[in-house]
Amino acid sequence: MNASRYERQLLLEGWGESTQNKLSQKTVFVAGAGGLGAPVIHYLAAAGIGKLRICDSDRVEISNLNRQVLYTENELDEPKARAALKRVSKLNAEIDVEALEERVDASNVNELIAGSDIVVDCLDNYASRLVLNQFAVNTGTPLVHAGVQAMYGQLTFIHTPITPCLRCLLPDKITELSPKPIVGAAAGVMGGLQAMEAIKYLTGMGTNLANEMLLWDGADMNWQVVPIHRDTDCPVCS
Amino acid sequence: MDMADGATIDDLLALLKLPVDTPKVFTVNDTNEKADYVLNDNDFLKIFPMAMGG
Ligand SMILES: [Zn+2]
Repeated sequence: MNASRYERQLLLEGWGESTQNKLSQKTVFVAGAGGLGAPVIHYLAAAGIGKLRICDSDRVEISNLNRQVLYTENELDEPKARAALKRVSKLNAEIDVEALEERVDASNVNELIAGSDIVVDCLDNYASRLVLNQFAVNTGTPLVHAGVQAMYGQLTFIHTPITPCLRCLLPDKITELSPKPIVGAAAGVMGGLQAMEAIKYLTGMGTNLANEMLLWDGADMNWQVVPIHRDTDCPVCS
Repeated sequence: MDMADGATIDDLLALLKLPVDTPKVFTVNDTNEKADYVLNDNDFLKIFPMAMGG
């Protein structure tokens, strides 16, 4: 480990070399390398997470570039997971990065995520999010959920049975909106917060946003943290 | 707002012509409730849309 690289975080009270070494032994599964995934992947790589598994089945399109700051015009039409791996390898060659050009579904979720210490939900639809959620509930793996749209977003740290699962919070039927409007900087805000939740969990520092949801309205620059609780009739976690 | 006795958050969404099939978080008097919660006099309901994108 190059200590100079991590000098500014090693200075944090309670962090030190042992925490940095701990991070270097962790594996994070990042589901989605889009608007949320871009800041998540950047910050986790920069922090020195040992292994990043980047999962996305899409290719880079020109319409992604207002928010997906992992990519440039040079990567158009490249698989996102592969392009993200290239970018991150330039940022931090000390870490191990795996590019998974797959769409997470019920048939592959166990194989894709097994062995990860935490899952970060950077997906853009609830059908796939619920697959991640089912895995997280089944295995007790923590899941950092965020969503972003227009100029607002939400964040919560899911770790059942201590917290509600994502399904507890959702209606039985969801109609997805596509394409979703978004200001790129809003994805930066919410993705940055997701990276914070993952780093706090992996280092044991700070407190995760468990049993609460942060709701951010960037249009009026208003933050609220509201309580959330398990649905006793939840078909996934109850 | 005036609502019929036994009206739920879902009923209010219908009255306000808000979609029921998009994710939302509800708090009633700062406690998290589901859409089938039966509203009472003087309840203070907040409706927070959950973003769908990533
Ligand atoms: Zn649940």
